Amino acid sequence: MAEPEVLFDCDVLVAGYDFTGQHNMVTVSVGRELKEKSVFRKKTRIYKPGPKTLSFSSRFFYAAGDSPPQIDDQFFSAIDDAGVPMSVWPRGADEGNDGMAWALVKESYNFGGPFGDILTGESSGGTGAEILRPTSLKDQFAAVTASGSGTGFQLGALTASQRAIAFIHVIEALGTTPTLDVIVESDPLNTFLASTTRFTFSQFAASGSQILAEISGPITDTWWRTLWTLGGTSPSFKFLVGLYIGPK
Amino acid sequence: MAEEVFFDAFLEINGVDLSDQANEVRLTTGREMRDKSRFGKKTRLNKAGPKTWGISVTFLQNYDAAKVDATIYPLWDNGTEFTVKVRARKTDTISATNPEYSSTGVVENYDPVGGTWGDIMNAPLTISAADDLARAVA
Repeated sequence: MAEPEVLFDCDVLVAGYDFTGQHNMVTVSVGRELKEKSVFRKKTRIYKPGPKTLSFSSRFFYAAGDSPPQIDDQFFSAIDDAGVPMSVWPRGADEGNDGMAWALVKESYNFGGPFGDILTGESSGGTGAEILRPTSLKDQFAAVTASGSGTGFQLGALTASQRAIAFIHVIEALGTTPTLDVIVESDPLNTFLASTTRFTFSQFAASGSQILAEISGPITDTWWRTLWTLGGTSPSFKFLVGLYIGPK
Repeated sequence: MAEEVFFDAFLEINGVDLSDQANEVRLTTGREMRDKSRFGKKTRLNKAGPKTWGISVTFLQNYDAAKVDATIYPLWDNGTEFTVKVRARKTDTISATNPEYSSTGVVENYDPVGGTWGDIMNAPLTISAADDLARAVA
C-alpha cells in the first residue's frame, strides 16, 4: 500500500509570480451545487449534481515591497482582476506532474497576528472560469537562455466531447529587450516530425501570465509539448506551461 | 453487544474499495422535521418528513492510480452518480450485527489538495444522496 502524501513540495503560482517560498498552507476545495430531484414514491431527499464550484484558501509569511514585487503588493492590489491563472501543484510543478488551476477571483486577503509571532497573511477566493486539472509541460525551476523545446508527454487524444486549455506563468524575464514566444504543439509520435501547433501564447517581454481559450476535439494526436523562441540580448526566462485535457 | 472500537470500516466508492485509504468515515441519516404543534399542547411537536442521508470521509490523500484522487476526482468532475457502500467491519460478513448501508450518491464536496507544510495531506469528501439508502443484513 502506497504511503499517504506529505505536503512538502507544493508549488503555488499566481499570475507572473511564484509564491511557493512564502506559503506554508494551501487548500483547494471543489464541489457541486446540488439540484434536488426528489419525487413521489421516494422517501429520501435526493439530488443531482449541478454546477461545479471551487474555493481556495492559503496562508503565507507576510512580505511587502515593490522592487521586486512582494506577496503583499500582489495580493492587495495587483491581482484584482479575474482571469489571471492560479495553479497549485501538490507534488511540485515538475514536468509531468498534475496540479489544479483556475482563473483567480480573489475574495479576501488579510494579514496580522499576535505580538511576538511571525507575521502571516491569508488569502481566499474562487474561480472566474473553468476548473482545470493540468499537467505541467514545462516547469519554472531552471531559466531558459536559448530557444528550444520541452519534453513530450503522451497525454492522449482529444475526443469530440473533450477540450484542451493551456496557460502560462512567466515568473522571470532578464536580459536586454528580451522576448519569449511559446507554443504548445501535438503530434502522433514523440518525434514531433508532423506536429501541429495547438496553442500560441502572446509574446512576453516581462513576467506575466495568460490563459488561452479552449480548443475542442477531436484531435487524434496523443503527444504534447512546448516549444519556445527567445529574442533580444542575453535573454533569460523562467516560465511554467500547464495543459488541461478533459471533459467539456 | 459490547462497545465497538472502530478499526475495520468498509468503504466502497464506485466499485473501488477505499477502506485502507481513509481514517474517518461517518454515515449520517436524518429526517426533516415538520412542525405539527397545535393548541392544547405545550411542546413543539414534530412529524418525520423526508429522509436525508450523507457520508463524510477523511482520506489520507493518495494520487496513485486506482486510489483516492484517481477515484474521487472524476466522479466530481463528471457529475457521476455512483454506488457507495459502507459498513462497520470489513472483515466480517454482512449480517444483522454488521449491516451494510448502500445507495447511489453524488460528490458534494472534495478537497483534492489541502494541508500545511510537513503534514500528511488529508482529503475530506462529502457524499450526498441521489437515491434512497438501503440497509442489508445478509
